[in-house]
Amino acid sequence: MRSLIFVAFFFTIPGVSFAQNWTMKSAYKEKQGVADLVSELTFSAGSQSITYMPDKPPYGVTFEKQMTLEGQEYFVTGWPQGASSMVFRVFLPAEKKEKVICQVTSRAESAELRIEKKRLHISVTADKRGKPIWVNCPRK
Amino acid sequence: MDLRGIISILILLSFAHARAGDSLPGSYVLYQSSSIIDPFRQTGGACFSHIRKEADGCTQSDWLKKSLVDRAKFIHDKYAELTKAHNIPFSPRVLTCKAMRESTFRSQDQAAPPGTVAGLSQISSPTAVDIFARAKWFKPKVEGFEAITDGTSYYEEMKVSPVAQLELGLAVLYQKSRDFKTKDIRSTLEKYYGSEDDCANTEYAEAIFDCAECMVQNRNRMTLSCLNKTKEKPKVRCKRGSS
Repeated sequence: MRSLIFVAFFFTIPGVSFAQNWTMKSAYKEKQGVADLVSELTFSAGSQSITYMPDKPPYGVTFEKQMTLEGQEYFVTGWPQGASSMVFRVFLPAEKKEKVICQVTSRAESAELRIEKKRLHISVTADKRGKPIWVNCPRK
Repeated sequence: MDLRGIISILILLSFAHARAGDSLPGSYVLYQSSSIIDPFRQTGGACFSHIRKEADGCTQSDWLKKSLVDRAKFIHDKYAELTKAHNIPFSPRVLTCKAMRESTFRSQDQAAPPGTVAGLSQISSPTAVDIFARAKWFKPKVEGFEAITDGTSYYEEMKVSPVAQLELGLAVLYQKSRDFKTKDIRSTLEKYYGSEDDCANTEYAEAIFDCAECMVQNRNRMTLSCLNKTKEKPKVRCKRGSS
C-alpha cells in the first residue's frame, strides 16, 4: 500500500515535466553574504529555466556531466572540498531546488555513472592501473 | 705625465672604486623586484611523477638535497614573504607545520592517478581551478607566475616551483576562511582538511598546532622533533561520537 502511494505521488509532482530534455550549465556569480564568487547551476528546457545556488561551501563546481541511463536523465557535479577532495553529487532532473539523489566524497577529479542490477553505481576512483572502481551511489 | 699626475689619477681611481662599492646597495634596490623569488624553481624539466626514481632527475634536485630542518627554515621564510605580500594574517610557523604534515617537504610528490594531489601543499587540480575562478582577491606574487590567470596553467607551472606550491596552498587555506567565515586559523585548518569525519579534521589541526607550539617552546627553532609532531597523534584527542 505504501509503495502504491509513493508511485501515485511520484507521478503527480506538479510543475516540472520529466519528459523534457534538460540541459545544465554552471556559471560563476556573485552571491549576497559570500565574499567571493559561487557556481550557479542553471537547468533549462525550452522556455523553462531553474537556477540553483549553494547555500554553504563548497561553492565552486569544476566537474559537470549529464547522461541518460535506462531512459532516466542524471546530472553529476563535482565540487572541490578541502584541498584534495571532491564532493560528487548526482541529481535527478531539475526541480525547484537542488535535488540530490546521492553524494560521495572522493580524491578523483571526475565521475561516471552506470546501472547494474537495477542499482545506480558511481565510479569516483580507479585502481593503480587506472581501471574504474564502482561503488553504490549512496543516498544522501 | 709626472709622478704627481700618476698619484692624482690613482687617488681619483680609488675614490671612484669606493663610490661604486658604496652605491651597490642602491643599485640592488633598483633591480629588486616586488615578486617573490624561488631559487629552487627548475625550468624545462617535468619533475612531478608518482613514480619517483632517480632516473626522473628530480630526486637529484638541490631542493631535496637540503635537510628537512633547512627546508623548514626556507619554507617559513617564504611563507613570511607570501603572507605579507597577500596581506593574510596566518602564522608562517603554523603554515610550515602544515606543509610538513601534507608533504614532508617533498615538492615533487604526486599521488597516483586519478587522485592527482601534488606538491608541498598536496593540492588537487580542480582545487587550483576553483581558486582562480572564484577567489577575487588572489593574484599570484611568485616571480614568473604573476601573469597566470587560470588554475590549470598555474598547476602545471608550479610543478617545478616549491614556492608557487606554497602560494597555492596558502591561497586555498585563506579561501576556506573566507568561504566558511572562520574565526581563527585552527578552525580554518579543520575546514581545509575537508573530511566528513569531524574528529579527523580536529586532529589534523591539533597535530599542526602541536608542531607550531613545540617550535615556540624551543625559542622558535625548527627542530626535527617538532616537525615530526605533525605526523603523531595530537595531544588533544577528539572523542568520537562527541562531536
